[in-house]
Amino acid sequence: MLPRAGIGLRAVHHEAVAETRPDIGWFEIHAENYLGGGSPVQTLDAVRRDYPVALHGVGLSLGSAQGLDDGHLDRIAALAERIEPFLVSEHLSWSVVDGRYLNDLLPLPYTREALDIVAANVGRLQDRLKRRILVENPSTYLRFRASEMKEWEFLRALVRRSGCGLLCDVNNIHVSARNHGFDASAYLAALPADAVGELHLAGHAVNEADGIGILIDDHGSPVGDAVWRLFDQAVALFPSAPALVEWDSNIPPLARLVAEARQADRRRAETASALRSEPAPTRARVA
Amino acid sequence: MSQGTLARIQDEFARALLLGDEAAAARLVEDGLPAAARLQIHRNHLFHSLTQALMQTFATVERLVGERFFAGLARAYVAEQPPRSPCLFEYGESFADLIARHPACAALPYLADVARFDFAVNLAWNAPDRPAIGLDGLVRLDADSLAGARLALTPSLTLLHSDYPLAAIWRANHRPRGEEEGVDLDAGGGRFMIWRHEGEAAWRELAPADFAFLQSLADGHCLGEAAETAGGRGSFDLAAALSLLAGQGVLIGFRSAAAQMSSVINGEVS
Repeated sequence: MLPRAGIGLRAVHHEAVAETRPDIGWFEIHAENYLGGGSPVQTLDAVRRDYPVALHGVGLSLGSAQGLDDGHLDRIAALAERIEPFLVSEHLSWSVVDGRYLNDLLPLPYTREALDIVAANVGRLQDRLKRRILVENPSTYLRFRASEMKEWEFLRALVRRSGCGLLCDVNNIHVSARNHGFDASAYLAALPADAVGELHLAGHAVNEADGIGILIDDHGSPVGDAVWRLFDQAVALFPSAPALVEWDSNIPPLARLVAEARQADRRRAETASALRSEPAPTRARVA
Repeated sequence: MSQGTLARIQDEFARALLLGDEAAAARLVEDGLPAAARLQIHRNHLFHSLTQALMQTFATVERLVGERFFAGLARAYVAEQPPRSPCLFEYGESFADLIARHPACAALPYLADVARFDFAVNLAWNAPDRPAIGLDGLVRLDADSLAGARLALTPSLTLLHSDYPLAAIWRANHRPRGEEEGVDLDAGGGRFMIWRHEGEAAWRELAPADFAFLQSLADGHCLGEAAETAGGRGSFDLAAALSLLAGQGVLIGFRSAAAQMSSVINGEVS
């Protein structure tokens, strides 16, 4: 059976989810929004009774040179223990320096030093949670001169070193590919297929700065055509990875997200049926 | 090597985002868009997203001063005191202190207390859940143990004493836009307890003696001392005060300093 798509659970939809119990595959939560108490936690408990839930961290800062924050790690571990998520993921990025949280998924230089640091932090997180985690590819707007390898090479090496899996965000690949001029399909094909355990789908904005267009990953619009086409390639390469639809700005009514999740299910079904009637794609062919 | 390259890069990057420092730009590949413009994307995100988070927490302040003025305050606060935690519902604990000393707010002397009230309501919604104990948890103690007991209060609780009518200001500014009510700032202040009750943020105005009693308990004093403090502030009825607190879900147990009390409650012999 094909994995069904899920939706990123946001506070504005808590009521609609409780009332309508939409027919979708699963929900993903941002861990940091559920580390307090009160109604968010109650909503989460109710959602857990009816749906599989994935835990997606946005604040662990796996790329911090100073290592993971003990207190935050404790809170994430306690939440994971309580809600028993079927997937746990975080980002290939950093957001904390000297205890200050910069509220962004900031880019890393792809160096051997950074690889050592991220691999150690991922290892520590996995040891603490006693499970494999998925690391998400970022969307980036800049590159460091110091980088010694491509992002996908860094991710491949991270998988080898830490034993982590990957969360493949096809919108992020599209955004970064357009911003830095690389081939998104080649990036997908270069990922270690066995490691990819989840897909993300979202919309992005196109900004003009100094007359130069740059794509911004704002999760504030429907999934674009180019991203859907990349998704079709991704489901062919990573057929068992469930997909998630994410909105974080201009968030529309829940029904729109449900419709987008259904669209992901339809496209996956179409890709699967096309693959059955054609010879299986090889990596070389997709690349 | 005391500080690695990545640590240096992250330090420079943080200074670029928070302070507009330019050193980080030299580390970036120049193609098409200039490095400074690329850093600016992250800088804009930092200030914009945290302003939005503060606006959500301090909705009454924003309603009182308007979005542009609020954004100016938020910008100053973010640059000076970025979050210490990735949980944004925890951000803004000292925003009221910035308002209190910000020259632009000098003509709005009540604004800092409104911010304290907003933060207290936010805490009431988001504080960790702790099961409350009822009065029966107390009546099992004999009189001496009761007087020496140090009560633990719900983490959702804030005690706030203001010279301004905060509850009226809050209510007037949470009506639909255009239907705001005027508030008489000289109506007198009040002593408030703000906490979560039955899943919702709640507040209540307290008499001076009851407020002093609760403040003393919150400071970690034992029941006997708290009752004595309260008695010095006016007529005080200990039984009524305890019954109120227990009925409102404010009591959650005993402080660990009085470990023997916990075992009494648990019916264990220590």
